[in-house]
Amino acid sequence: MLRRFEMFVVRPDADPAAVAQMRRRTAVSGDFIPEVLDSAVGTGRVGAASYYVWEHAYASPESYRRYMVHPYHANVIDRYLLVDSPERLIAEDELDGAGLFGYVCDRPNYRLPAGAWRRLILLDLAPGDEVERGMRALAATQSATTESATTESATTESPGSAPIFSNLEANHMGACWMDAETFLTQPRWSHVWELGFATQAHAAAWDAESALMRAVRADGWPAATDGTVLGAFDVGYQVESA
Amino acid sequence: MTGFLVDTHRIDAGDHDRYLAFLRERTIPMMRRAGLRLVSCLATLPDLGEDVSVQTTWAFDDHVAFNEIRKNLVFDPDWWGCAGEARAMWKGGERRFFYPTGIEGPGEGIS
Repeated sequence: MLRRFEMFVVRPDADPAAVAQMRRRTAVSGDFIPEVLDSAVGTGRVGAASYYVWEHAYASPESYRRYMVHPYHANVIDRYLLVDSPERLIAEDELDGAGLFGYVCDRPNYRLPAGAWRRLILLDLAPGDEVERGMRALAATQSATTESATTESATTESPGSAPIFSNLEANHMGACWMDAETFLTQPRWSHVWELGFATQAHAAAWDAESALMRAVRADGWPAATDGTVLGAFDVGYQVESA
Repeated sequence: MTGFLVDTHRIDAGDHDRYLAFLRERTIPMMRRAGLRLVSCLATLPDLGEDVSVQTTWAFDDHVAFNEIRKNLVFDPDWWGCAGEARAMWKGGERRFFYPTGIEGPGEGIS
């Protein structure tokens, strides 16, 4: 499967009605493009700016390529996003290169019900397979998931602060955005660490209890990870239903 | 099926000449380079005491071709630069895609 995100800062002067329409029309993309799976949206803040997240998935690179050439993509989604569209609603890149990203996964363990909390930590890892393995191991120690971490049990009843799931993978979609296979660009963020929590309170509790996160807050990512993580872009938002 | 990308931009009447020059010199060559074909570029009159609407219509073979055109645009630094400069003159506008209806009138009314 291909897990994919688009994240943008909304122009401060954008018409709220138009923004609401963009949110609604991207959220329901799967109604028009059958290849778009698990479509949902969320809103968060980075500093003073409000950002908008469209999260979704595809079953395969072939599915993704059908999305890329679907008229709904060019007619509707691009209308709000492309830099030369007179109806563009998003600002210039104020998210440090975190516009389009995603990863390959075996199964849709990322599914969360509306109201749950998703955290996305985009990582710039130092090069090397060993570094990646080390970061995966480190992330695993920080994010032992709940015993019942299944799609069906991803409810707001999940106990404790443990994530419902934790996926740390290479930012494949940031590099292969055209066809999900061809590396076109070196993405700003090499890896995506996606975590799901029952509620924002669960996410905050995990953040407070995680030794890694405490070290990051104290010393920054490079020092907290012995140079494994050169930098990170860290956001969280409540998942909204389509 | 051939598609038509139709952009309508609203600009201040005082920007009429400057905007058309910008289209001619910067935007149109860049869009052609990406693979779009210019069908028409029309504008309302600048001396009617209202904003001017400038409508450009571009043709492309189908959405597979448009996907490639979009990639070409993304990789063209001038696309980003042109859009930034043009946006400073835009007061509003609309982007829509149109498709043949089967009702034809090629060239009719054009002299």
